[in-house]
Amino acid sequence: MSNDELTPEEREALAHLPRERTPSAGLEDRVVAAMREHGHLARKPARVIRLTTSRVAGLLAACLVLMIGAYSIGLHNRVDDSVLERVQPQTNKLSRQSGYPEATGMVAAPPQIEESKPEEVKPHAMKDQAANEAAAPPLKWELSVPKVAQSTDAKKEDRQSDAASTESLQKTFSEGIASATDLAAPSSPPMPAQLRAKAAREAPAEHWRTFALNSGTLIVDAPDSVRVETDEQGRILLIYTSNGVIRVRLAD
Amino acid sequence: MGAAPESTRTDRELVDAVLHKKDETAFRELYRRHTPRLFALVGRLLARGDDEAEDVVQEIWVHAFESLPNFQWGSSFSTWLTGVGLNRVRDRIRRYGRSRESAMEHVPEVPVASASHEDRVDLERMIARLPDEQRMVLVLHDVEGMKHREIAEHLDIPEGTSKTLLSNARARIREMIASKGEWI
Repeated sequence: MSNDELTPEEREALAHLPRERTPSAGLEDRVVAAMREHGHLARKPARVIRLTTSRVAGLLAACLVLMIGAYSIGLHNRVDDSVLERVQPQTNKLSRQSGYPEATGMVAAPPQIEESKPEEVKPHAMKDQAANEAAAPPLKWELSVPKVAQSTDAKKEDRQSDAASTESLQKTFSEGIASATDLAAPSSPPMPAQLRAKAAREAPAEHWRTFALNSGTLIVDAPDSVRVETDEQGRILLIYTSNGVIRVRLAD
Repeated sequence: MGAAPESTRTDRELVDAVLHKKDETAFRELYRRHTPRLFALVGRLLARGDDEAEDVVQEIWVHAFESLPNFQWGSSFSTWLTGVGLNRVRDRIRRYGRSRESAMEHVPEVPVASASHEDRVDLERMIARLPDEQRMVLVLHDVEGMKHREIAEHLDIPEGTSKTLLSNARARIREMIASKGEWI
């Protein structure tokens, strides 16, 4: 057999070798990415979302729900602030009990390392303590801190004071809500933080209310105590709050 | 690779769309049309495994579109692309050399369902074990059906050298077949 010629068997064997093979699935995207990187293909265009009426309506509804949600969170956060205000003096009280001098100014049992601390610090620190106590709101703390050597009479006084304070808060809160929902007094002064805390605790359970607005429907989640209504033309949703009226309207 | 609907656009129309509009869809169509053949050829010529063959295929496409503005359409796009591919394979072999061991490990497993499947795999392995130049000439002549003149042009060698390399390659394959027990 000559080396220059193929036998029919050899020719057939070679002819049956596959001429095509499929590369791995990821190669196409890799090649396209490389082509794009070399500037042979256009960058991927930004996805265009067509605005249809239903999409716009959905978007607006979502925005409204977000806005009301944010408003509710804002109210809730204000309650948290009031709690913080109440906790701060309590921290000072705890510090005083532990005898740590930097917070309370008391030098009766200072740590060893501060033994050489000059006595001049004392009056200044005492002044801070007095200022802290003066700034504390008149409420009794709810955080449980053991009261040492408190007489039975003192405890009774505390309980009476708590009850009186609660009653007073409830009354003020009811009045505040009444004025907040009153159309004639939309700009009534804001409630103090403590009242808001109390109000938040005693607010009725929230539920959804539905309003027809500009041939659409708005679903609002707000407490019953918050007055929500539409204007005469049905174009604007009015939410009455203690700080004023929030007007919500669908964009054209 | 997703299944693309059959297009009636010619290679030239697709190439023009890529060149002038940077049209990705047109490129993907070209890719799907020509890559299976290109990948088989590159894999067989390199005999270094699928991963390296894919790297070279990627280089070929990028390089092809860098050179395409100079293509005069004197031949088919497929033939021209094969030429680009051969240059890249030749450069790759020159640059990195070739490990005999890796070649023996990476003989492509071709998905052929027939009685003679094992014989074909054996033949692929024998081709992969040939020296680089002999393998390239044998593949281009006996598998791809090129003439010695074309091979000489693509590989930048004299025609006579191409004939000699082919003759030696065939002789080597026959030796391997004769002593199959030792080789495979």
